[in-house]
Amino acid sequence: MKTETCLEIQAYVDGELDASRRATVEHLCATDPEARQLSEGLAALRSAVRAHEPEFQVPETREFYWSQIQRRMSAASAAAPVTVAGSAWTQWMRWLVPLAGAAAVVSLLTLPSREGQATATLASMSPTPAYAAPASSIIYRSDTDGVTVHWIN
Amino acid sequence: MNKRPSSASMPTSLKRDYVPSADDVLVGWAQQGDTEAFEQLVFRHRDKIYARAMLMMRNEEEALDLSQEAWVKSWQRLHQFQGDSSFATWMTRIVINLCLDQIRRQKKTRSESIEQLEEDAGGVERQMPVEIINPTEGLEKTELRSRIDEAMSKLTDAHRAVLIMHEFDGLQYKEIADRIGISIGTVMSRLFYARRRLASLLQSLRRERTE
Amino acid sequence: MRPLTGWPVLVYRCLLATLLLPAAVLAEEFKVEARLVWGTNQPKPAGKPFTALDDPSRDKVRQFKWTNYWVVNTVISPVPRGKPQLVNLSSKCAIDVIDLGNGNVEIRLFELKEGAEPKLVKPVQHSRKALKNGEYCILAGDDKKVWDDAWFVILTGGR
Repeated sequence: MKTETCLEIQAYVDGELDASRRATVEHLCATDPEARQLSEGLAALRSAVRAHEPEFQVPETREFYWSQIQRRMSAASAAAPVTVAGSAWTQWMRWLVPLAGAAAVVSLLTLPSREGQATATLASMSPTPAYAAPASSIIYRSDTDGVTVHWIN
Repeated sequence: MNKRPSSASMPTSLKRDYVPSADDVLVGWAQQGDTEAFEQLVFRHRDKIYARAMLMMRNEEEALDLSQEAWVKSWQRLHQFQGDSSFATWMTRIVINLCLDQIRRQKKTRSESIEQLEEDAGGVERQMPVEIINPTEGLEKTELRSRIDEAMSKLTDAHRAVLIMHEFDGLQYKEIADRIGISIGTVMSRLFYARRRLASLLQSLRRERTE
Repeated sequence: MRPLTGWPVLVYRCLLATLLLPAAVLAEEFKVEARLVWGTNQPKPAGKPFTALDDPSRDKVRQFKWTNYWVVNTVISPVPRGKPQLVNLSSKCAIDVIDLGNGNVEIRLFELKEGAEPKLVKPVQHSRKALKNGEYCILAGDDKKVWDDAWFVILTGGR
Protein backbone atom coordinates (compact mmCIF):
# COMPACT_ATOMS: atom_id res chain seq x y z
CA MET A 1 0.00 0.00 0.00
CA LYS A 2 1.28 3.45 -0.88
CA THR A 3 2.19 5.93 1.85
CA GLU A 4 -0.44 8.36 0.63
CA THR A 5 -3.16 5.71 0.91
CA CYS A 6 -2.12 4.80 4.46
CA LEU A 7 -2.12 8.46 5.48
CA GLU A 8 -5.49 9.02 3.79
CA ILE A 9 -6.98 6.12 5.74
CA GLN A 10 -5.50 7.51 8.93
CA ALA A 11 -6.97 10.96 8.15
CA TYR A 12 -10.32 9.24 7.61
CA VAL A 13 -10.11 7.54 11.02
CA ASP A 14 -9.17 10.88 12.60
CA GLY A 15 -12.13 12.65 11.00
CA GLU A 16 -9.94 14.99 9.00
CA LEU A 17 -11.45 14.39 5.55
CA ASP A 18 -14.16 16.25 3.69
CA ALA A 19 -17.23 14.40 2.41
CA SER A 20 -15.87 13.43 -1.00
CA ARG A 21 -12.52 12.11 0.27
CA ARG A 22 -14.35 10.32 3.05
CA ALA A 23 -16.54 8.58 0.49
CA THR A 24 -13.46 7.53 -1.49
CA VAL A 25 -11.83 5.95 1.57
CA GLU A 26 -15.09 4.25 2.57
CA HIS A 27 -15.30 2.73 -0.88
CA LEU A 28 -11.69 1.60 -0.67
CA CYS A 29 -12.25 -0.02 2.72
CA ALA A 30 -15.34 -1.77 1.41
CA THR A 31 -13.44 -3.29 -1.50
CA ASP A 32 -9.89 -3.76 -0.21
CA PRO A 33 -9.41 -6.04 2.84
CA GLU A 34 -5.95 -4.59 3.55
CA ALA A 35 -7.34 -1.06 3.66
CA ARG A 36 -10.22 -2.18 5.86
CA GLN A 37 -7.84 -3.91 8.27
CA LEU A 38 -5.69 -0.81 8.53
CA SER A 39 -8.71 1.41 9.14
CA GLU A 40 -10.06 -0.89 11.86
CA GLY A 41 -6.64 -1.31 13.46
CA LEU A 42 -6.04 2.43 13.57
CA ALA A 43 -9.49 3.08 15.04
CA ALA A 44 -8.95 0.42 17.74
CA LEU A 45 -5.53 1.79 18.62
CA ARG A 46 -6.84 5.35 18.71
CA SER A 47 -9.66 4.56 21.12
CA ALA A 48 -7.43 2.32 23.27
CA VAL A 49 -4.81 5.07 23.64
CA ARG A 50 -7.40 7.78 24.32
CA ALA A 51 -9.11 5.70 26.97
CA HIS A 52 -5.87 4.84 28.75
CA GLU A 53 -3.96 8.06 29.06
CA PRO A 54 -1.01 7.37 31.37
CA GLU A 55 -1.45 8.98 34.77
CA PHE A 56 1.18 10.65 36.93
CA GLN A 57 0.93 12.40 40.27
CA VAL A 58 3.02 15.31 41.44
CA PRO A 59 5.66 13.69 43.66
CA GLU A 60 5.49 16.51 46.23
CA THR A 61 3.02 17.59 48.86
CA ARG A 62 0.39 20.14 47.90
CA GLU A 63 1.89 22.74 50.23
CA PHE A 64 5.46 22.32 49.00
CA TYR A 65 4.43 22.35 45.34
CA TRP A 66 2.36 25.50 45.84
CA SER A 67 5.09 27.22 47.86
CA GLN A 68 7.52 26.71 44.97
CA ILE A 69 5.03 28.16 42.51
CA GLN A 70 4.38 31.09 44.83
CA ARG A 71 8.09 31.77 45.09
CA ARG A 72 8.42 31.79 41.30
CA MET A 73 5.36 34.00 40.96
CA SER A 74 6.93 36.49 43.33
CA ALA A 75 10.19 36.37 41.42
CA ALA A 76 8.47 37.05 38.12
CA SER A 77 8.41 40.82 37.89
CA ALA A 78 5.68 41.01 35.30
CA ALA A 79 3.11 38.87 37.09
CA ALA A 80 0.01 40.83 36.21
CA PRO A 81 -3.23 38.97 35.65
CA VAL A 82 -5.06 42.29 35.84
CA THR A 83 -4.02 44.74 33.15
CA VAL A 84 -2.84 47.87 34.87
CA ALA A 85 -1.98 50.97 32.89
CA GLY A 86 1.64 51.72 33.76
CA SER A 87 3.46 55.00 33.98
CA ALA A 88 5.20 56.49 30.97
CA TRP A 89 8.49 55.13 32.34
CA THR A 90 6.98 51.61 32.63
CA GLN A 91 5.72 51.84 29.05
CA TRP A 92 9.21 52.87 27.87
CA MET A 93 10.83 50.09 29.87
CA ARG A 94 8.56 47.54 28.19
CA TRP A 95 10.34 48.36 24.93
CA LEU A 96 13.75 49.24 26.27
CA VAL A 97 14.39 46.05 28.21
CA PRO A 98 13.94 43.64 25.24
CA LEU A 99 15.85 46.06 23.00
CA ALA A 100 18.74 46.21 25.45
CA GLY A 101 18.70 42.41 25.69
CA ALA A 102 18.75 42.07 21.91
CA ALA A 103 21.61 44.59 21.67
CA ALA A 104 23.58 42.62 24.24
CA VAL A 105 23.11 39.39 22.29
CA VAL A 106 24.10 41.07 19.01
CA SER A 107 27.21 42.51 20.69
CA LEU A 108 28.17 39.09 22.00
CA LEU A 109 27.83 37.54 18.58
CA THR A 110 29.67 40.25 16.68
CA LEU A 111 32.47 41.39 18.99
CA PRO A 112 35.74 39.96 17.74
CA SER A 113 37.15 37.39 20.11
CA ARG A 114 40.88 37.08 20.70
CA GLU A 115 41.03 33.55 19.40
CA GLY A 116 38.16 33.96 17.01
CA GLN A 117 36.71 30.81 18.51
CA ALA A 118 33.97 32.11 20.77
CA THR A 119 32.35 33.95 17.92
CA ALA A 120 32.52 30.96 15.65
CA THR A 121 31.04 28.70 18.30
CA LEU A 122 28.15 31.03 19.04
CA ALA A 123 27.45 31.66 15.39
CA SER A 124 27.56 28.00 14.44
CA MET A 125 25.09 27.12 17.17
CA SER A 126 22.40 29.39 15.80
CA PRO A 127 20.23 28.20 12.92
CA THR A 128 21.25 29.38 9.47
CA PRO A 129 19.14 32.49 8.99
CA ALA A 130 19.59 33.04 5.28
CA TYR A 131 16.91 30.64 4.11
CA ALA A 132 13.18 30.86 4.28
CA ALA A 133 11.82 27.85 6.17
CA PRO A 134 13.83 24.92 4.80
CA ALA A 135 12.59 21.42 5.55
CA SER A 136 12.95 20.24 9.13
CA SER A 137 15.26 17.35 9.84
CA ILE A 138 16.50 15.16 12.64
CA ILE A 139 20.25 14.82 12.96
CA TYR A 140 21.99 11.63 14.00
CA ARG A 141 25.65 11.26 14.63
CA SER A 142 27.93 8.33 15.26
CA ASP A 143 31.50 9.29 16.12
CA THR A 144 32.73 5.72 15.94
CA ASP A 145 31.35 5.25 12.43
CA GLY A 146 32.19 8.79 11.31
CA VAL A 147 28.68 9.28 9.98
CA THR A 148 26.20 12.12 10.26
CA VAL A 149 22.72 11.57 8.89
CA HIS A 150 20.23 14.38 8.33
CA TRP A 151 16.86 12.69 8.05
CA ILE A 152 14.68 15.21 6.28
CA ASN A 153 10.99 15.19 7.20
CA MET B 1 4.14 40.17 41.78
CA ASN B 2 1.55 42.91 42.17
CA LYS B 3 0.05 43.44 45.55
CA ARG B 4 -3.57 42.48 45.31
CA PRO B 5 -6.27 41.87 47.84
CA SER B 6 -6.37 38.26 48.91
CA SER B 7 -9.24 36.64 50.70
CA ALA B 8 -7.27 36.89 53.92
CA SER B 9 -7.71 40.67 53.93
CA MET B 10 -11.42 40.54 53.11
CA PRO B 11 -14.17 41.04 55.64
CA THR B 12 -15.50 37.71 56.94
CA SER B 13 -18.88 38.39 55.31
CA LEU B 14 -17.17 38.38 51.90
CA LYS B 15 -15.02 35.32 52.59
CA ARG B 16 -15.05 33.14 49.51
CA ASP B 17 -15.79 29.46 49.53
CA TYR B 18 -13.17 28.06 47.17
CA VAL B 19 -13.51 24.32 47.47
CA PRO B 20 -17.00 23.88 45.99
CA SER B 21 -16.62 26.69 43.44
CA ALA B 22 -16.44 25.85 39.75
CA ASP B 23 -13.28 26.53 37.75
CA ASP B 24 -14.74 29.54 35.92
CA VAL B 25 -15.68 31.17 39.22
CA LEU B 26 -12.20 30.57 40.62
CA VAL B 27 -10.67 31.93 37.43
CA GLY B 28 -12.80 35.07 37.76
CA TRP B 29 -11.58 35.60 41.31
CA ALA B 30 -8.00 34.84 40.36
CA GLN B 31 -8.25 37.39 37.54
CA GLN B 32 -9.04 39.94 40.23
CA GLY B 33 -5.82 38.96 41.96
CA ASP B 34 -7.09 36.39 44.44
CA THR B 35 -4.14 34.04 44.93
CA GLU B 36 -6.13 31.64 47.10
CA ALA B 37 -8.55 31.06 44.22
CA PHE B 38 -5.54 30.42 42.02
CA GLU B 39 -4.09 28.03 44.58
CA GLN B 40 -7.33 26.08 44.48
CA LEU B 41 -7.02 25.82 40.69
CA VAL B 42 -3.43 24.59 41.08
CA PHE B 43 -4.56 22.01 43.62
CA ARG B 44 -7.33 20.80 41.33
CA HIS B 45 -5.34 20.43 38.13
CA ARG B 46 -1.76 19.98 39.27
CA ASP B 47 -1.62 16.23 38.58
CA LYS B 48 -3.03 16.60 35.08
CA ILE B 49 -0.60 19.38 34.18
CA TYR B 50 2.33 17.51 35.70
CA ALA B 51 1.26 14.31 33.91
CA ARG B 52 1.23 16.09 30.58
CA ALA B 53 4.74 17.44 31.19
CA MET B 54 5.88 14.02 32.35
CA LEU B 55 4.44 12.34 29.26
CA MET B 56 6.23 14.81 27.01
CA MET B 57 9.59 14.97 28.79
CA ARG B 58 9.84 11.51 30.42
CA ASN B 59 11.88 13.07 33.20
CA GLU B 60 10.52 13.80 36.67
CA GLU B 61 12.72 16.79 37.42
CA GLU B 62 12.03 18.50 34.12
CA ALA B 63 8.33 17.73 34.37
CA LEU B 64 8.15 19.31 37.83
CA ASP B 65 10.03 22.40 36.71
CA LEU B 66 7.97 22.86 33.54
CA SER B 67 4.64 22.24 35.25
CA GLN B 68 5.47 24.89 37.86
CA GLU B 69 6.60 27.25 35.12
CA ALA B 70 3.27 26.66 33.38
CA TRP B 71 1.39 27.74 36.51
CA VAL B 72 3.48 30.90 36.78
CA LYS B 73 2.86 31.67 33.09
CA SER B 74 -0.85 31.10 33.50
CA TRP B 75 -0.95 33.49 36.48
CA GLN B 76 0.80 36.11 34.38
CA ARG B 77 -1.55 35.60 31.45
CA LEU B 78 -4.75 34.98 33.32
CA HIS B 79 -6.27 38.19 31.96
CA GLN B 80 -5.97 36.67 28.46
CA PHE B 81 -8.15 33.70 29.38
CA GLN B 82 -11.53 34.35 27.83
CA GLY B 83 -13.21 31.06 28.64
CA ASP B 84 -13.29 29.86 24.99
CA SER B 85 -12.06 26.50 26.23
CA SER B 86 -12.04 25.01 29.70
CA PHE B 87 -9.39 26.25 32.11
CA ALA B 88 -7.81 22.77 32.17
CA THR B 89 -7.50 22.76 28.36
CA TRP B 90 -5.99 26.25 28.40
CA MET B 91 -3.49 25.19 31.07
CA THR B 92 -2.61 22.02 29.18
CA ARG B 93 -1.76 24.05 26.11
CA ILE B 94 0.53 26.29 28.13
CA VAL B 95 2.46 23.34 29.54
CA ILE B 96 2.65 21.63 26.14
CA ASN B 97 4.11 24.80 24.61
CA LEU B 98 6.72 25.00 27.36
CA CYS B 99 7.63 21.34 26.77
CA LEU B 100 7.94 21.91 23.01
CA ASP B 101 10.25 24.87 23.65
CA GLN B 102 12.33 22.75 26.00
CA ILE B 103 12.58 19.91 23.48
CA ARG B 104 13.65 22.38 20.78
CA ARG B 105 16.34 23.78 23.07
CA GLN B 106 17.61 20.30 23.85
CA LYS B 107 17.63 19.34 20.17
CA LYS B 108 20.07 22.18 19.47
CA THR B 109 22.60 20.83 21.88
CA ARG B 110 21.91 17.12 21.92
CA SER B 111 22.88 14.94 19.00
CA GLU B 112 20.80 11.81 19.01
CA SER B 113 22.62 8.56 18.56
CA ILE B 114 22.47 6.83 15.24
CA GLU B 115 20.79 3.88 16.90
CA GLN B 116 17.71 6.04 17.34
CA LEU B 117 17.54 6.58 13.63
CA GLU B 118 16.10 3.14 13.14
CA GLU B 119 13.16 4.06 15.28
CA ASP B 120 12.66 7.50 13.87
CA ALA B 121 12.81 6.49 10.26
CA GLY B 122 10.23 3.84 10.87
CA GLY B 123 12.98 1.26 11.24
CA VAL B 124 11.92 -2.33 11.32
CA GLU B 125 8.27 -1.34 11.24
CA ARG B 126 8.76 0.18 7.82
CA GLN B 127 9.30 -3.25 6.43
CA MET B 128 6.47 -4.94 8.22
CA PRO B 129 3.15 -5.26 6.47
CA VAL B 130 0.84 -2.35 7.20
CA GLU B 131 -0.96 -4.13 9.97
CA ILE B 132 -2.20 -2.69 13.21
CA ILE B 133 -3.92 -5.26 15.37
CA ASN B 134 -6.32 -4.31 18.13
CA PRO B 135 -3.92 -3.86 21.05
CA THR B 136 -6.62 -4.06 23.72
CA GLU B 137 -7.19 -7.76 23.22
CA GLY B 138 -6.22 -9.81 26.22
CA LEU B 139 -5.02 -6.92 28.35
CA GLU B 140 -6.52 -5.59 31.57
CA LYS B 141 -7.36 -1.88 31.77
CA THR B 142 -4.64 -0.98 34.29
CA GLU B 143 -2.11 -3.13 32.51
CA LEU B 144 -2.93 -1.56 29.18
CA ARG B 145 -2.46 1.91 30.67
CA SER B 146 1.01 1.08 31.94
CA ARG B 147 1.90 -0.63 28.67
CA ILE B 148 0.81 2.39 26.67
CA ASP B 149 2.96 4.51 28.97
CA GLU B 150 5.92 2.18 28.53
CA ALA B 151 5.49 2.10 24.77
CA MET B 152 5.16 5.89 24.59
CA SER B 153 8.41 6.29 26.49
CA LYS B 154 10.15 4.44 23.66
CA LEU B 155 9.00 6.87 20.99
CA THR B 156 11.21 9.76 19.96
CA ASP B 157 10.32 13.24 21.26
CA ALA B 158 9.07 14.27 17.83
CA HIS B 159 6.71 11.33 17.48
CA ARG B 160 5.54 11.38 21.06
CA ALA B 161 4.72 15.11 20.96
CA VAL B 162 2.49 14.70 17.91
CA LEU B 163 0.77 11.67 19.40
CA ILE B 164 0.10 13.37 22.75
CA MET B 165 -1.23 16.53 21.13
CA HIS B 166 -3.50 14.55 18.87
CA GLU B 167 -4.77 11.82 21.18
CA PHE B 168 -4.85 13.53 24.56
CA ASP B 169 -5.34 17.17 23.66
CA GLY B 170 -7.65 16.42 20.76
CA LEU B 171 -5.85 18.82 18.43
CA GLN B 172 -6.47 18.68 14.68
CA TYR B 173 -3.60 18.12 12.25
CA LYS B 174 -3.46 21.81 11.34
CA GLU B 175 -3.36 22.97 14.95
CA ILE B 176 -0.47 20.59 15.66
CA ALA B 177 1.35 21.71 12.52
CA ASP B 178 1.00 25.37 13.51
CA ARG B 179 2.16 24.82 17.05
CA ILE B 180 5.20 22.70 16.23
CA GLY B 181 6.05 24.59 13.07
CA ILE B 182 5.94 21.67 10.65
CA SER B 183 3.75 20.87 7.64
CA ILE B 184 0.46 19.00 7.91
CA GLY B 185 2.05 16.23 5.83
CA THR B 186 4.81 15.84 8.42
CA VAL B 187 2.23 15.73 11.21
CA MET B 188 0.41 12.95 9.34
CA SER B 189 3.51 10.89 8.71
CA ARG B 190 4.85 11.35 12.26
CA LEU B 191 1.48 10.34 13.67
CA PHE B 192 1.36 7.29 11.44
CA TYR B 193 4.89 6.17 12.34
CA ALA B 194 4.13 6.80 16.02
CA ARG B 195 1.00 4.67 15.85
CA ARG B 196 2.69 1.85 14.00
CA ARG B 197 5.51 1.91 16.47
CA LEU B 198 3.09 1.99 19.38
CA ALA B 199 1.06 -0.89 17.95
CA SER B 200 4.22 -2.88 17.34
CA LEU B 201 5.51 -2.23 20.89
CA LEU B 202 2.15 -3.16 22.40
CA GLN B 203 2.11 -6.35 20.38
CA SER B 204 5.59 -7.32 21.48
CA LEU B 205 4.73 -6.55 25.10
CA ARG B 206 1.67 -8.77 24.76
CA ARG B 207 3.79 -11.52 23.25
CA GLU B 208 6.22 -11.29 26.18
CA ARG B 209 3.28 -11.65 28.54
CA THR B 210 1.89 -14.74 26.86
CA GLU B 211 5.26 -16.48 26.57
CA MET C 1 81.03 25.66 -12.45
CA ARG C 2 81.54 23.93 -9.19
CA PRO C 3 78.31 22.36 -7.95
CA LEU C 4 76.89 23.76 -4.74
CA THR C 5 77.30 21.62 -1.68
CA GLY C 6 76.66 21.90 2.04
CA TRP C 7 74.53 24.66 3.57
CA PRO C 8 74.04 26.68 0.36
CA VAL C 9 72.17 23.67 -1.04
CA LEU C 10 70.02 23.54 2.08
CA VAL C 11 69.18 27.25 1.84
CA TYR C 12 68.37 26.88 -1.85
CA ARG C 13 66.05 23.98 -1.19
CA CYS C 14 64.31 25.80 1.65
CA LEU C 15 63.75 28.83 -0.57
CA LEU C 16 62.36 26.65 -3.30
CA ALA C 17 60.04 24.89 -0.88
CA THR C 18 58.84 28.22 0.53
CA LEU C 19 58.00 29.43 -2.96
CA LEU C 20 56.39 26.26 -4.20
CA LEU C 21 54.44 25.14 -1.13
CA PRO C 22 51.64 27.76 -1.32
CA ALA C 23 51.22 26.99 -4.99
CA ALA C 24 50.90 23.30 -4.22
CA VAL C 25 48.37 23.99 -1.48
CA LEU C 26 46.32 26.26 -3.73
CA ALA C 27 46.42 23.71 -6.50
CA GLU C 28 44.80 21.11 -4.27
CA GLU C 29 41.19 21.98 -4.94
CA PHE C 30 38.85 20.21 -2.53
CA LYS C 31 36.02 18.25 -4.08
CA VAL C 32 33.26 16.10 -2.65
CA GLU C 33 31.74 13.02 -4.11
CA ALA C 34 27.95 12.90 -3.95
CA ARG C 35 26.05 9.70 -4.60
CA LEU C 36 22.29 9.53 -5.05
CA VAL C 37 21.20 6.21 -3.59
CA TRP C 38 17.82 4.50 -3.60
CA GLY C 39 17.07 2.40 -0.52
CA THR C 40 14.57 -0.32 -1.31
CA ASN C 41 13.68 -3.99 -0.94
CA GLN C 42 13.06 -4.20 -4.63
CA PRO C 43 15.53 -5.78 -7.06
CA LYS C 44 17.33 -3.66 -9.60
CA PRO C 45 14.85 -2.58 -12.27
CA ALA C 46 15.64 -4.11 -15.66
CA GLY C 47 17.46 -1.86 -18.07
CA LYS C 48 18.60 0.64 -15.44
CA PRO C 49 22.32 1.33 -15.08
CA PHE C 50 22.18 1.28 -11.27
CA THR C 51 25.03 -0.26 -9.29
CA ALA C 52 25.02 -1.70 -5.81
CA LEU C 53 26.44 0.51 -3.06
CA ASP C 54 29.99 -0.54 -2.12
CA ASP C 55 30.49 -2.50 1.11
CA PRO C 56 32.23 0.22 3.18
CA SER C 57 29.38 2.61 2.41
CA ARG C 58 26.78 -0.08 3.11
CA ASP C 59 28.36 -0.51 6.50
CA LYS C 60 27.82 3.17 7.21
CA VAL C 61 24.09 2.83 6.58
CA ARG C 62 23.72 -0.50 8.33
CA GLN C 63 21.27 1.04 10.80
CA PHE C 64 18.76 1.09 8.00
CA LYS C 65 17.02 -2.12 7.08
CA TRP C 66 16.65 -1.97 3.36
CA THR C 67 17.86 -4.97 1.39
CA ASN C 68 19.19 -3.01 -1.52
CA TYR C 69 20.91 0.30 -1.96
CA TRP C 70 21.11 1.19 -5.62
CA VAL C 71 23.48 3.95 -6.63
CA VAL C 72 21.48 5.97 -9.11
CA ASN C 73 24.14 8.56 -9.89
CA THR C 74 27.56 9.70 -8.74
CA VAL C 75 28.90 13.19 -9.24
CA ILE C 76 31.96 15.08 -8.12
CA SER C 77 31.15 18.53 -6.87
CA PRO C 78 33.73 21.29 -6.47
CA VAL C 79 33.83 23.12 -3.13
CA PRO C 80 34.67 26.72 -3.98
CA ARG C 81 35.13 29.55 -1.51
CA GLY C 82 33.06 31.82 -3.73
CA LYS C 83 29.95 31.22 -5.78
CA PRO C 84 28.77 27.61 -5.51
CA GLN C 85 28.01 25.58 -8.58
CA LEU C 86 24.72 23.67 -8.84
CA VAL C 87 25.33 20.01 -9.70
CA ASN C 88 22.40 17.84 -10.79
CA LEU C 89 22.06 14.43 -9.16
CA SER C 90 18.92 13.56 -11.10
CA SER C 91 16.20 15.37 -12.99
CA LYS C 92 14.55 16.01 -9.62
CA CYS C 93 17.37 16.99 -7.30
CA ALA C 94 20.64 18.86 -7.23
CA ILE C 95 23.21 20.00 -4.70
CA ASP C 96 25.70 22.77 -4.34
CA VAL C 97 28.62 22.86 -1.92
CA ILE C 98 30.51 25.87 -0.67
CA ASP C 99 33.53 26.28 1.59
CA LEU C 100 32.42 28.65 4.34
CA GLY C 101 36.01 29.47 5.22
CA ASN C 102 35.52 28.71 8.92
CA GLY C 103 36.49 25.06 8.63
CA ASN C 104 33.01 24.03 7.52
CA VAL C 105 31.45 23.36 4.17
CA GLU C 106 27.79 23.94 3.49
CA ILE C 107 25.87 21.45 1.41
CA ARG C 108 22.53 22.58 0.03
CA LEU C 109 19.98 20.19 -1.40
CA PHE C 110 17.59 21.49 -4.06
CA GLU C 111 14.43 20.14 -5.61
CA LEU C 112 14.24 20.59 -9.37
CA LYS C 113 11.07 21.19 -11.33
CA GLU C 114 10.82 21.89 -15.00
CA GLY C 115 10.36 25.56 -15.77
CA ALA C 116 10.90 26.60 -12.15
CA GLU C 117 13.83 27.87 -10.14
CA PRO C 118 15.57 25.21 -8.02
CA LYS C 119 13.83 25.07 -4.65
CA LEU C 120 16.05 24.86 -1.57
CA VAL C 121 15.10 21.82 0.51
CA LYS C 122 17.81 21.70 3.14
CA PRO C 123 21.14 23.37 3.90
CA VAL C 124 23.50 21.44 6.20
CA GLN C 125 27.02 22.12 7.40
CA HIS C 126 29.85 19.69 7.94
CA SER C 127 33.49 19.95 8.95
CA ARG C 128 35.72 20.21 5.87
CA LYS C 129 38.50 18.38 7.64
CA ALA C 130 36.21 15.55 8.71
CA LEU C 131 35.00 15.07 5.14
CA LYS C 132 38.59 15.05 3.92
CA ASN C 133 39.40 12.44 6.54
CA GLY C 134 36.73 10.13 5.21
CA GLU C 135 33.64 11.03 7.24
CA TYR C 136 30.24 10.59 5.68
CA CYS C 137 27.61 13.30 5.58
CA ILE C 138 24.28 11.83 4.53
CA LEU C 139 21.04 13.56 3.66
CA ALA C 140 18.10 11.20 3.52
CA GLY C 141 14.34 11.03 3.54
CA ASP C 142 11.28 9.03 2.66
CA ASP C 143 10.43 8.39 -0.93
CA LYS C 144 7.29 10.40 -1.56
CA LYS C 145 6.02 8.00 -4.18
CA VAL C 146 6.75 4.53 -2.86
CA TRP C 147 5.90 3.35 0.62
CA ASP C 148 8.91 1.89 2.43
CA ASP C 149 11.49 3.28 0.05
CA ALA C 150 13.91 6.07 0.79
CA TRP C 151 16.53 8.17 -0.94
CA PHE C 152 20.00 9.03 0.29
CA VAL C 153 22.54 11.60 -0.83
CA ILE C 154 25.87 10.29 0.47
CA LEU C 155 28.66 12.85 0.55
CA THR C 156 32.29 12.00 1.10
CA GLY C 157 35.49 13.91 0.63
CA GLY C 158 36.26 12.77 -2.89
CA ARG C 159 38.02 9.45 -3.26
